[in-house]
Amino acid sequence: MSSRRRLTRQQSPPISLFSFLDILGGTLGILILIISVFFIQLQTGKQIVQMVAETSQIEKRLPRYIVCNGNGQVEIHDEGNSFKVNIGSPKISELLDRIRANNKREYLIIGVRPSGFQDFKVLRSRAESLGVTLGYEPIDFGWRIRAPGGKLL
Amino acid sequence: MTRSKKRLRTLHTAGSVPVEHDGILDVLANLVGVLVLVGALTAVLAANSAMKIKTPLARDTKKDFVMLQVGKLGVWDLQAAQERMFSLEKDRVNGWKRCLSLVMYELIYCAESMQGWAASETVGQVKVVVSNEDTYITRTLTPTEGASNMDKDGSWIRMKIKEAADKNKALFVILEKEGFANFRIVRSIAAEHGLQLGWEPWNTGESIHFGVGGRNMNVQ
Repeated sequence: MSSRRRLTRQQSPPISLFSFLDILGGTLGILILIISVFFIQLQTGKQIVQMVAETSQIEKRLPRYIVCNGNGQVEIHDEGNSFKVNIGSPKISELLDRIRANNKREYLIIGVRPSGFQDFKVLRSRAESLGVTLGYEPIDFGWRIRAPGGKLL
Repeated sequence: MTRSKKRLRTLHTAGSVPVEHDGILDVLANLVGVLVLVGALTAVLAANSAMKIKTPLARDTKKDFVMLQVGKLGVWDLQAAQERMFSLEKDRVNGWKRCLSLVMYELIYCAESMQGWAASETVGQVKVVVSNEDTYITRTLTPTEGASNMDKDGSWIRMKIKEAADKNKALFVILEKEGFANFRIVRSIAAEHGLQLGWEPWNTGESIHFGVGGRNMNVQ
């Protein structure tokens, strides 16, 4: 009986883990690829920028943001809401009017993309004619904007 | 084939020497775990990190400006050209004033000669044109300093900005759409010297006209 059991143990087929090696090796490769892609994206012009109000020169005010993307398209970042509109949208007029009404507490920052020069000039003229206090900033083509409290566009 | 080699081959083919993968599996599994963690952290960092840009408000200044034009190729010194343009403009106005001080026939002759008055020069890398109809400056294709040298120690732009700061002047940049990266270099150097800076978007290579009806230069 005992000699029979020993024989059975000795002859049981060995478990091969070789296929797991393949899977783990593949997973490793994919992970390395994903991490590399993340790092490359961070390095090459796809930066996320946050336009921060420079308040050293003035009393502390709340900034509102408009980014001129060109071809009449602008992004508005306002009180945590972010949306894309046309340069002629009434939402821009509403925003400018509100900033003017609260001129002592709010001001406008305009982000300018390389293709948005013309829209920027139009928008700046409108803001200046309303007496809105403003600052403006060149924003590279690939950069994504994150306004404080706003979602990423 | 020797006897011992024959025996070894027999052993291998019979599968009596099992290959252990446990150690390699442990190492690989650990590596995968670590990489998953690194990947997750990188993703979180990438999602949350944002480069902060401080944007000050536009405001007027009583300081004199040093003018530069910044494009993809580098930076152009507009200052010398601008000063030369003012000098030529002064000559033109003085010419007309001289005419007005003359008696009738001399005045007519003088005015006729002044009608065609025009001057065109190249100062450094900037073309200056002054005439009765128009007064403008235009950058040439070669910058005063190339983009590759701007960030180096002892570069022309560093010396120019330091000189402006020493003379308590402000800096004004005519910015072309391809020159954003170079503009950031200029602005960081200006910030190092505490220099006030203003900028204006400009169509690439377009002439800069001086006279009435334009915008006042301001700083941010």
